[in-house]
Amino acid sequence: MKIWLIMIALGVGTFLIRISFIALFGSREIPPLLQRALRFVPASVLSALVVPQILTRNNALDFSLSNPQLVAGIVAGLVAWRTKNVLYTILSGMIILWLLQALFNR
Amino acid sequence: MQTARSEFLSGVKALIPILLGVIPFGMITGIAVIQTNISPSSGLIMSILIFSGAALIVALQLITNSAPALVVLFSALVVNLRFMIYSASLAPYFKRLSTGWKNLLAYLLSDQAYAASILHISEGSCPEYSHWHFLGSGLMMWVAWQSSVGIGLFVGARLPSNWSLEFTIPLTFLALAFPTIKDLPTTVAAVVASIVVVLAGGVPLKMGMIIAALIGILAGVLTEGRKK
Repeated sequence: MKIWLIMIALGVGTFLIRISFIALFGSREIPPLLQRALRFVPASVLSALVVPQILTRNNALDFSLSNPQLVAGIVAGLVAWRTKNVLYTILSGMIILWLLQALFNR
Repeated sequence: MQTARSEFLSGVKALIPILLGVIPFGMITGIAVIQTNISPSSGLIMSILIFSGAALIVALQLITNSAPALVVLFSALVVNLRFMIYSASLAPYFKRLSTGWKNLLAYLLSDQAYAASILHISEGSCPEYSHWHFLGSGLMMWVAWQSSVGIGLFVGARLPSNWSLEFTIPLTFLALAFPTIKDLPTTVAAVVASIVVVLAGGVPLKMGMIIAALIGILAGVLTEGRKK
């Protein structure tokens, strides 16, 4: 099963990232440029992940406000920004999405 | 051994306040995994193999979008690169430990265990046994995480499929993304990555995300360099 091979490789890879500097006996510091680049990994990666998922509707990018995912995503983004709370962000996004879907289907 | 035991217990205690954020996130991860048509028991085994919610969801989502295996691996591992920072930060305190201990503590390394333990470990009040503190925090996190993922997996399998619950996946990442945007350079990194990923929508093999992330990181580094 291909999916299990990927998962095992992912498990090993994640473990190797975790043990990287611990295995180097603490004798080495992170190279300064790598350290600076690592600081931007979460913001860049998470943005690159989220944006297409929110914009994609019926397998195409949809920038219009008639895309309920976009509106729900904007509201949830504001909540995430103000509260920094995972639960509130998800609840607000899902409630807006459900409301819009209910309105559209009528 | 009395000290080892008390260090272990204080590590467990240090993690408990964080659980309020961990349990809902673990349950949401479980529900999100179910949305990619994985059975609950497979999902739990994968969660134990990887012990990283974000990487697991990214991988499963790319697999359902039929991305090539190498793209799946690379994308999911990039999400976890932050562990390298923690690894470097903990390395000096773990250097005299046996390989077995190092392997165990590395597997248990998570954002939460690191946050709960690093202050105590770096204070060096009990350097002989401080790895027991990390073990306490790490194990407590592992048990809480896998249990809440498990609950999410089994609850998710029973929820109706017309609730658009797959949308909880981008919302989860949205909630994780905002706290990482702290200053001008991180804002630039996030905005540039967002723009590039949209522009690169037509790039084959789902490589757009990787390209966008790398250009975002570069933009952040350059912005920071300019400020100084």
